[in-house]
Amino acid sequence: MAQTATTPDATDTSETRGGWGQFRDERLNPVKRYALRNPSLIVGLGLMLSLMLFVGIGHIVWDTEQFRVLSAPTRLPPVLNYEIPTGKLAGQIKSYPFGTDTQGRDLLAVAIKGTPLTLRIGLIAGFVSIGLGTVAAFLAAYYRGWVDNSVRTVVDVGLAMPGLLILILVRINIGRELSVDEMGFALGMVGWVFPARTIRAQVLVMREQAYVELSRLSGTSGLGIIFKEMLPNLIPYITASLVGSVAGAILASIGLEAIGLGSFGLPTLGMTIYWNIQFSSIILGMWWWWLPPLIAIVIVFLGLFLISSGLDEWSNPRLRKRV
Amino acid sequence: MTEQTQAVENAPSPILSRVFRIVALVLGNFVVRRFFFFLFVVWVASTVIFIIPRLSGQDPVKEKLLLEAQRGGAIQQGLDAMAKNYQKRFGLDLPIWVQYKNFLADLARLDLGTSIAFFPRTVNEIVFESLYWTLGLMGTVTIMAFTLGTLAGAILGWPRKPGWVQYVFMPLLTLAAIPQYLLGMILIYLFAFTLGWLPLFGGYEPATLPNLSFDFIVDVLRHAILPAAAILFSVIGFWAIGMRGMMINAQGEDYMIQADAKGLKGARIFLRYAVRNALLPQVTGLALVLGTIITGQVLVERVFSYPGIGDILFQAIRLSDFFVIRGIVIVIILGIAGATFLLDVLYPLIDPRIRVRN
Amino acid sequence: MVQPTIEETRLSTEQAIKTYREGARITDVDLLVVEGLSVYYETESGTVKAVDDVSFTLKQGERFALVGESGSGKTTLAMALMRLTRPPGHIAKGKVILNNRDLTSLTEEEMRQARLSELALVPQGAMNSLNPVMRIERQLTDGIIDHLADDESMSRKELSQTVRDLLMRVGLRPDVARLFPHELSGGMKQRVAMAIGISLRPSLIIADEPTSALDVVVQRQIMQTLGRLQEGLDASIMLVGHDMGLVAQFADTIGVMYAGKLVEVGPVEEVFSDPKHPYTKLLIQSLPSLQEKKEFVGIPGLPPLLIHLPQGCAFEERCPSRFGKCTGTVPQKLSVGNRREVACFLYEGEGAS
Repeated sequence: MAQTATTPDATDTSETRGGWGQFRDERLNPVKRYALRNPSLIVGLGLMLSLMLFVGIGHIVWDTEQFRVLSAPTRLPPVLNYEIPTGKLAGQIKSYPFGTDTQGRDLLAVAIKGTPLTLRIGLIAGFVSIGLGTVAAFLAAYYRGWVDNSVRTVVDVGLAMPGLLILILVRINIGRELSVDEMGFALGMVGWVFPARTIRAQVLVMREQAYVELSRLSGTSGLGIIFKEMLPNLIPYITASLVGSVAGAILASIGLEAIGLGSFGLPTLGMTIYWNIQFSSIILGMWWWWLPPLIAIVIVFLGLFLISSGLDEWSNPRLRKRV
Repeated sequence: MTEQTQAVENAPSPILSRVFRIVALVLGNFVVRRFFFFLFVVWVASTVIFIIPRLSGQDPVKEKLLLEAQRGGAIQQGLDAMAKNYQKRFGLDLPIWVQYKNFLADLARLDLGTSIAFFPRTVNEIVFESLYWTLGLMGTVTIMAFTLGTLAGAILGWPRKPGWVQYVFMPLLTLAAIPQYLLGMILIYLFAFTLGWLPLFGGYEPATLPNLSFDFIVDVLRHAILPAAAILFSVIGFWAIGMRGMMINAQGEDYMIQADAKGLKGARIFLRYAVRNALLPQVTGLALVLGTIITGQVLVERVFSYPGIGDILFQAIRLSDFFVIRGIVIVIILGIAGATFLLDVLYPLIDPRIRVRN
Repeated sequence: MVQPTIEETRLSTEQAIKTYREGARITDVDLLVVEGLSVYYETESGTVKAVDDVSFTLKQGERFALVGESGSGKTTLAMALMRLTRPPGHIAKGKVILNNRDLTSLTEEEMRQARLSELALVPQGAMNSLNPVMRIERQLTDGIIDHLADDESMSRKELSQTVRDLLMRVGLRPDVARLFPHELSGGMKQRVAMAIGISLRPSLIIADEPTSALDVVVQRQIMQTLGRLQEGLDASIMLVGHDMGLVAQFADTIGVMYAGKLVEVGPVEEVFSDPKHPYTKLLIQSLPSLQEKKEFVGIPGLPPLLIHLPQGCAFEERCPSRFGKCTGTVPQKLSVGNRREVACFLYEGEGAS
């Protein structure tokens, strides 16, 4: 009798080696295990993703043009199927799940449209600061000499000056409002100093390590060493710095906007806070006006913070709890 | 930060060092070096502040002054005089280095100009008045938050702590992630609006004149509770988490194993080996985030309409009062640079490794 | 190039071994008895047996050297004796009997008291083992203070006198007391570490690679000081290291570790002149000699990963004398002479296990 089906044998590894099996064992599983050990990373990512989902779905199902002033009756608490009594929309039945503010903005539209704007500012600023900072750090730490001296001086002085204040001055003197991208870029230009300092310190330490020396001896050019040896090892640290930078930039942008230096037509989180303070929404008892931006900001910061904590173990091997 | 990177970061910049060393050789002190750095930072900041308005080729300050002056009236006459005086010293017809010289001369005398919006009050008057409120409340609270937070972090970072302490960590984490002014808004809503226990805004009841009576002081304290709480709870978490990280780092060091091997008592190891060493990067961290702390407080003041520098800044921005804005920025920079200088000078007291042997 | 035979090696090491221990006072009292000590690390990939079933005895006054490659488990063993093993490692089984007391059964507080007063660790002083923000005198006295009984106390004068005394014993000037660790050289730091180690007159001193980071001249001075201190206390020393030359000159007994197991133990002269275990043989052969020129001989292959230990003898893969039995079972310790033990199947006929 011929043997029929051959059941996969536990010791027969020819099926699991190579291709998907190998990918699963060597790449996926370690990542999975790492993720399970760091719940903060998962929770953080989860928070950010849900926010994205909210924004994404919102853009599809809701009329985001209602973020503009006078798109809706004013001062409505959250209502569904409300018959509008007067004004240009009289007679229509509309829902305002997040209510409206004193100037007639649909707050749900504001949340959907505005949240990604703030995030975008943060991302642009984050990438610009980390980009500039990393370049400066590598230049200074690898080539040393007068390059290092100058960068070092600039960074030291830059750190002693609060970037936010400089931005306020610049904005005042430019005299006009800044677009989202401009604000992101400006924040990035001001924020590169701190990452430059910390990354430089890391590179200086790395520079003295054996594998760099080896690379140099075997004739790899300076740039080659930077890209092939040092950069890959720094990616965890740079990523953690990036998350921190983005969070800081969002904080700063909200601050700038809350003081009144934002773009008045845009429904960013910071501008919403500005309007809240302007019209004393708390005293007016309009809790639906300040609560959503509050929750959004909390989610963003908590999320970013947790992601950064979760990445800690990856970027700082000393904290590794298991072999 | 590891010890290695820590030592690397704290090495001062060589160009400046060379210049300073000559000076320091004459006067012989590490303190002098840091002081010169302080002056250097202030000078650079002032130069930046000088340059920014002039980048566009026009002078918005002059435009504003002229605008206000044209409105007519008694105050406007004063403004008119001010505009003319301004033109004399900073007019665009003057060569730029003359303008610069005048600007620096004014600064050196701490003459920050006269307010446009609140004419005829000088900028100094306005700024320093509000400075008391800011430093008094916010300054105290920051120090408290740093101390308490560091303490909390030290305990959180110690493996042999009582079990329940671990559960304090999560709420602190959440609080640390929330920006100060947001926490302020939440607190206002909860305690001032809903429960009505505490006042909604301001530093004291409006329409009262500040005086030193007991009632007034109590009033001030009542108004100070919420803003203080906002800053305190938000910032404590930040320091606690930082210190906890430093403690964890310190425990990986060889001297910790040795401390155990010597059979030292737990409390001693905790205080004199772990905390004492973890404190070093923590204090360095304080110096680095000073700027952020101050700007954070500015926003909290905005939310609470607290009569400090933040509030004045907001008003000045609204009214385009360039002189006041400029004055505030300069004062804040002075403050940060000064505090950094102080910390730099005091740091060798806690870290014997960078004491210069005289 | 002809490989030197065992005979030739014996001659040169015999010349090298100088037992300058005329005053050696090794009594017959068992100071330290280690029975079946095992230190395991639980990881998600399996159990790492860093130290596996190690047993040996130390007499009072004896100098015992524990040698092995990096990763052989010698430092782990030393730390385990002091019960300083950090999680996720733990002492899985075994006993550590010091002065007739089983250290593994003591409470935390009792163990804390025992450390420094009965057994002391002298680490590599040149590394970061001294607290960078404390003055030397403080670091010398805080151990003493924390071991005082509740009703005891020492005056400032007494402490200060003790500090001077300790510094003098290790050959340092008294004004070192007010300095900070970063102001001392590597050798000086090592001496301070030794001063701390003897401050409470322990019966056992564990010296973990005390001279690794120092240059040869200083090494010799340090070892001499260490020996002198030990004799002054009538204590025993356990020296952990991988410098065979140092061991040859200093120790009375040598224990060789490989992959977490103790593979050979015996008096130093005997082990050097007549190594039994194949690993020990290769180790001794690889020692460079001043007497004659020969090729450097290494040991081919690499030590096994402690996570994937083979079924049988851990050394089997690299062993030139392996045979059938070696792959199946783990060799147990066999007695092959006076205080001589080997864990190898080659000697199964010779002695009782």
